[in-house]
Amino acid sequence: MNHEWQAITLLAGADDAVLKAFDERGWPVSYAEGESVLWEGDECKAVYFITAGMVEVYRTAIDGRAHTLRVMRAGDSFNLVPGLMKEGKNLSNVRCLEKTDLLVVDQRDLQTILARYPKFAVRVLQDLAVRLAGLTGLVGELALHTVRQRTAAFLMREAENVSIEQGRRWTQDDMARQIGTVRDVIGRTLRDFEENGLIQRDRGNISLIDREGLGRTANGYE
Amino acid sequence: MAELNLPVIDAAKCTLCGICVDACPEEVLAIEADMLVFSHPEQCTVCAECETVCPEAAVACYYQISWAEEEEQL
Repeated sequence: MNHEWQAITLLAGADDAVLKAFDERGWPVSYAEGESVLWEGDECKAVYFITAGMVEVYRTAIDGRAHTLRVMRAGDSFNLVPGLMKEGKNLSNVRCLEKTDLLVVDQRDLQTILARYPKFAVRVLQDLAVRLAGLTGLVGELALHTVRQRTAAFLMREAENVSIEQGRRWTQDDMARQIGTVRDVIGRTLRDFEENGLIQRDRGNISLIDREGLGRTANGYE
Repeated sequence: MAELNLPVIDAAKCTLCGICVDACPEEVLAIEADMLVFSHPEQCTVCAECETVCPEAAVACYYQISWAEEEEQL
């Protein structure tokens, strides 16, 4: 085996024949921090598997406002949905949040592998179902929750993630991209949370001090 | 000396419009010799007002998000 396909979640437990098929067709590529991998609307040519690093999958509005759909890490795969379409176009932009190593497989090769190995095709369907559930949740959040609710939920989620994402630091712009709003709205919302005793900002730290209050805000009770 | 965690200024994006200088509640920022500088860095509380008002997104304040009770345990 030339490449680390076993480390890819989608391929975990896959038959040796499947791993071999990927290994014969795939190739490695590396990107620097901040470099773009894909642009939405371009013709889909390949699917990507992350072996190291971290990428942001995002979409942009016509005014340049961006919304993060997902942050993906080693083991994750992206561009799978257009990769399964006939003449699909990339649905999102992807940029590297740090130096990132990828394995790439041509879209037509992926379709050939899926046709040849039905057990693996079912595994891909299950993965797509999980992605669809995640995006359904995101649509519900954007449509039904206010910025205050989404900001409170985001802060609580990130505070829980601190031990997983050691050292991850957020600008207001990053937060706005995650929450689906703009920087100055985040600025006002954080200031409001601070004035209401929900959080405290202190030199590069946002400390969440009122768990119950944040929970109520996230659930729309305040 | 403790790390100050000051806002990061992207000089390539900054147009020296001075909006952040006016907005800073601690009067930490100044324009000196055609550059945006921290004239009193030790007074900066990283409140992110400069980041919020910058029309060019040339200022970034970085935050780590955590539960207060966990910080107390560390």
